[in-house]
Amino acid sequence: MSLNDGDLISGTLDVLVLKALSWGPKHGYGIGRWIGESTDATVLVEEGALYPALHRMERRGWLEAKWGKTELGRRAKFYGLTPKGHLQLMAQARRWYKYSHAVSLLLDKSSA
Amino acid sequence: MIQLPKGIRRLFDLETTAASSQRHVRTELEFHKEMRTRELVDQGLSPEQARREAERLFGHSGQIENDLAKVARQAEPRLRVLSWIRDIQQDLGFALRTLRATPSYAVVAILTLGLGIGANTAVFTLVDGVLMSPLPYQDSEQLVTLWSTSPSRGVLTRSPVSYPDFRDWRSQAKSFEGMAMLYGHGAVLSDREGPTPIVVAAVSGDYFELLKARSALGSPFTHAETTVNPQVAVLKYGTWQRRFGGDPNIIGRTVTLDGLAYTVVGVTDRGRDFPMWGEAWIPLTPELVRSQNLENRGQRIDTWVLARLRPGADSAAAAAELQTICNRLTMVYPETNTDWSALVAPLRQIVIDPFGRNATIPRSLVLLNGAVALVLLIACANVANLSLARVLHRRREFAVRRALGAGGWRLIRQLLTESLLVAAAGAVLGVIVARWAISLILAHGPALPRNTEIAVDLRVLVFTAALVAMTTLLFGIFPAFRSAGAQVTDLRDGARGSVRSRGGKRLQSALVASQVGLALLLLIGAGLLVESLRNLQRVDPGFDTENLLVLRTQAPSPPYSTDEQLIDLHQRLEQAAENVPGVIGAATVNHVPGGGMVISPLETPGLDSVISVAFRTVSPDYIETMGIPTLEGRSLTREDMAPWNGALLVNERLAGMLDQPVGQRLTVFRQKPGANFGEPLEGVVVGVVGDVLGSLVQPASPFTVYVPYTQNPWQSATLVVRTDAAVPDPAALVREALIEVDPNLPVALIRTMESQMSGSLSQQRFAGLLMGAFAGAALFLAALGVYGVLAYLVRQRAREISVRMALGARQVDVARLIVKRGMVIIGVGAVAGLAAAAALTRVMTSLLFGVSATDPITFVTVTGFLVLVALVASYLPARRAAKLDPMQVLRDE
Repeated sequence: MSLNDGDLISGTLDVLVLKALSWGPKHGYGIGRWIGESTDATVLVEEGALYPALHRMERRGWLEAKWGKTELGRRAKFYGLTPKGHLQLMAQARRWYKYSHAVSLLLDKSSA
Repeated sequence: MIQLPKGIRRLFDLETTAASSQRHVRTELEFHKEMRTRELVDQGLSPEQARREAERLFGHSGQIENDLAKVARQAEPRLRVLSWIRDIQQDLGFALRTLRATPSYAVVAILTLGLGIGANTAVFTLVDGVLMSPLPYQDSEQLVTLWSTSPSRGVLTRSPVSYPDFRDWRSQAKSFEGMAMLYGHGAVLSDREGPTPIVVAAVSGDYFELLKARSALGSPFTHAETTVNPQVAVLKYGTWQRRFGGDPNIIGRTVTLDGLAYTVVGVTDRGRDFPMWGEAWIPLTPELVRSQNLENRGQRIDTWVLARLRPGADSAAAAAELQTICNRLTMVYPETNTDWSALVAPLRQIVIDPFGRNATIPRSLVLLNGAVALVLLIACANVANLSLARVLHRRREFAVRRALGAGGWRLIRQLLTESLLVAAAGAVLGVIVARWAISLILAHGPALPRNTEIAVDLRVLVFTAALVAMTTLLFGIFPAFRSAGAQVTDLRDGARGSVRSRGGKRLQSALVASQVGLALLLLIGAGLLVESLRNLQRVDPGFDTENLLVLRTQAPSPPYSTDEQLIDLHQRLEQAAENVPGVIGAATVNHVPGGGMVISPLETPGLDSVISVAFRTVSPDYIETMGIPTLEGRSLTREDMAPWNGALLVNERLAGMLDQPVGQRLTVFRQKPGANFGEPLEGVVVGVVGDVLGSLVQPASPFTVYVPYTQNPWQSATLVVRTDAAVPDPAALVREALIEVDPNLPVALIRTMESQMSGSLSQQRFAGLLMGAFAGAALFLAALGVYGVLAYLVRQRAREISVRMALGARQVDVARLIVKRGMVIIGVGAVAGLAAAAALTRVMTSLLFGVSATDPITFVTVTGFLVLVALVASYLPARRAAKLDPMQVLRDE
């Protein structure tokens, strides 16, 4: 599966980003790379989708952004989860499991 | 940046201003690209390659920035409005970039719309300047002109008002704030450069107070001033410019009119110089009233009456009031006033059509306005088609944007912004075109009324702005909604010609068909005008117009005060002209055809009622010199004149009214303003001569009576001189010879009869020319449209065509396929155009001559021409289709 296509982006991208940040604050590039690495490059997030999503979630209060320095001393914008973001991650993950379970059930049935 | 407490920064919008949030966004994205570059370098790319690749992966960073900036702003309610403005800026910026990316589209669209908007702006400038804009006088809608009329005498139109009638109207009517009389007469303006004949308006003292016109220099005389010093004059702007070189110190200087000194007190402003025929204004003094015999109640000649309605009074009520006054006057003065009533005409109507000769101007202008609007419609259809094709090409882009969360409305707005930008650029070009066209028309076009008021002004620019809005919607709406229809699924199917674009093709074809229809409508309109113009040019004016000079003299009084003195002068002038080598003959007439006329009542035992006839006083050789055929009886001779034996001539049309014209007794009345005005001239018809037209657009020759000029010699007379074609420039020689007769006599060469006759068609020619140009533009655009849609079709179906050819279809079959498609479009358009033309050309009827509004020959030939051109336009893409190399096309897929 590739997220290049855009069909799956809305909704799914949010939960991926929230999950990426549950391990601690990251900058945008780091989030993208984490998602790529964690899915063995199956899910490649396009920047054009990632940044608007980050900013939107920040505005909703799920994320909290801070300007900081990277290990290499570059100024970058770091995003971290707020308590609200944690709740959101749990809610969205639950919904996702339920949804993918339903889809799997259905696919198993019809292929059988 | 100075660090301030957050609250204060928020209060002043510092942190949240769009600029700073944009800077943050940029830093963040730049960081991202840098990291990506570094990663790629680690993978072994050179730094440059890596950077380029990072940029590429990143995609359209400008668009992301915009999206982010928007996310940022949406959350701040205080910035909503700002956000809205930013969106527009963004749209404009984006539109500008996309247009720059496809310069050929931009150039073609802007040129097409520029010419369309320019033509519309130019025609509107004419319509507005001549017909719509208020007259340049204060409260000008209250200004009217008053006339006498007597339908039972055959005087259907406006006839001048006699001075006594005017005085009674002025003292008795309550509907008017004021009423002023103008008495127009020729006078000799003398200065260092010699004498010049000019037309002077002698006006009652309150005239300028009534008109409320701004002056260019000084101030016009008032009633009170003229009672103290009547020797004052106001000059017309043009006279001041021409005769006095625009001398700024003219006020207070003395000018000589008919030997009397007048002090110049004012110069009228440009375009504020009613009446248009006046070159100078002087007070209408009691002496002038006496000397011109204006106290004669029956002398209805050479006067105009200007009146200002009371605020709130309407002209119908005013006309009714005047009618009652007229009825009263008829009771008191039955001799002069029986059957005479009053007519109220808005000043605007008189300004546009002062002598009843420009009646077609409003109609022509409105027609041209309609025609040029159609041209713009066609141009819009063309640009709409271009934009549609472009939108279909950009479906991928729209699909991506939708996927990124752009709403349909957002895309529509984006596309409309692009259209608006194109239309606005077109409008800028259009205004330049219009200004150029207007200066060209004013310099070389026909003499239009109110021509000093014709300019691309603010009113016109407002109109142009409205055009921009309208055209944007007209050509932008289809592409815009099509873009909004872009779906994420469009990304999958390769976004090339598929099911979804079929609707687009249908729309394109419909647009082109409507172009063809509109172009046909315009072509037929132009064809009818041209045909009518050709008919007019073939009209026989009834005399030989070639090698005929027309010169006008104005005999000053004194020394030419009595009839004998005038007759003697005119004889000497004729003699002098005939002595010039190359002159075949010379004759005198009071008014030459096309140079005005006076009307006399005519009474004859052969007719029950009094009719009105053109009253021409002529010297013996006039009929022969003009080349007017004598149809019955004989012409006038010298023996008929002194003393007069009662010999008169009538024209053919009048003769048709009489049973036995030759030998018929009839009575006409002296018409020269003066002591013997209105005295009867009882005579006998000795001959019938041919009808004569003064202008080719006049429907018919008026009833005319020719009277020996010895019976009523005019102060201002016209000399017609027949010259030998072999003599170069006879006009100058003749003029010199005439000046030698009396150096104080002003002689003006009016022109040759040929130029007068051809000039009489200038408005028709102008309308025909413009209409032809519009129709030509329409045809070109429609042909372009046909070509465009078929060429697009060939591109889209290149694969299918190639397959067919690979399977054995011949080139002819392929070409036929495309031409057939073109024929359907052309056919549908032509039928619609013919139907529209059949329904609409009726409005042109009054502008046509000798051709019906649904002239089948015009309809058929013009349609044939259009179809031919359209077929040529569809042949080109067909040939391209036939020349396709199937292998090449299939390999490219």
